[in-house]
Amino acid sequence: MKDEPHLQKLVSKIVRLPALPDNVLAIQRLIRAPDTTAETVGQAIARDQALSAQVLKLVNSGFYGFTTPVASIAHAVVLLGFGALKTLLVSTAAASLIGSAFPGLYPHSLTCARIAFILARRQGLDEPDELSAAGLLHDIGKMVLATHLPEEYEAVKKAVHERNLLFMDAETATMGVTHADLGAWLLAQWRLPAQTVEPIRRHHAFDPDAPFAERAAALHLADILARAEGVGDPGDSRIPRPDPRALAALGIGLPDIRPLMDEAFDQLTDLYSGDAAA
Amino acid sequence: MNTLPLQKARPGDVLATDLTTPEGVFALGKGATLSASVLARLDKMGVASVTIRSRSDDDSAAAMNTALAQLAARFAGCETDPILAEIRRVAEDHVRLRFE
Repeated sequence: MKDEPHLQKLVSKIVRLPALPDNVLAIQRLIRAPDTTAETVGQAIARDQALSAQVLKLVNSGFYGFTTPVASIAHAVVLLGFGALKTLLVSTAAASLIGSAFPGLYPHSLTCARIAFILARRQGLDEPDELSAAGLLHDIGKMVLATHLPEEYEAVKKAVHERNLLFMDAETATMGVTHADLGAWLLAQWRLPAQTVEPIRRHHAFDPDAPFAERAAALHLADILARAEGVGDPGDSRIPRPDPRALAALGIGLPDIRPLMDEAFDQLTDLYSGDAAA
Repeated sequence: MNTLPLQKARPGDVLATDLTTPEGVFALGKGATLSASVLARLDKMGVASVTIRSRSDDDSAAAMNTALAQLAARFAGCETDPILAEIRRVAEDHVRLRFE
């Protein structure tokens, strides 16, 4: 990958990896152990009251397409299955990290997650809940930048404001790497599956031949639509152009835009009131 | 907040400042809601103008205009892309729906 040396140089400056909390790491270890069942994992989460509360808050945040509230971890495990549970754990921890990076990034991320879910369901993509998680995490590289690379972050912000650039163009201009690369790097360190990591890496650089291209296309469009609806703050005030190849990969044309956005809009009303803090 | 001739004030308007008569006598405190009878009494007392808080429909119109201006700024330069133009049209309709 052409950006690899830039990325390695940048991440070598990060003294400590943005960390997952100990309780999440312990459950991740349990998940990786042979013979662990979803029930065992559910029980381990349920024993940790603070973590249970966070997990249920996220499950009920409109993040998944559940129409009735999920009241218990056992119920969440049944509904989500084992694979989704792994991503959910990381998402739970990441939600508060994203919220602390800069105001407005979490509402933007949650909007992107909801639109990604709707898009996945409408276009018949596999595992819409995993794509929703990718939507929540798609800008986690901005959190890494804001919290672990303060000098670079200031330079990016300055370029965004002085030259009215997209955040990613300001990153490319000042660092040669974008938050998409940084985020994918972090999530790979956190052992998230490639079907979550690769679309995040490609959400601003669609490549029809890259792995999980269809999911990357969905994330690319969900981010654009989240920006169009104006919920939260992705760190700049512009809209990236949709890549026609991404729309083609999804089978989305001009007549699909309005029904898709109308369905999303109906599910964003709580976010406009501004109470979507992480 | 804006200052209006008394005749333009409406029942339900809320005073943004303390109100005194032309003789300098305190008449009503900041935050008081004007009723039809209070407006009539103020007229008798010779009060010519009142300073009221922005009416909520004005606030809502202003907020909508801000949201539309932000939207226009976000989409500046995107007019040539037909998909983005459609996305913008729908997003604009959604802004209007939010403030209806």
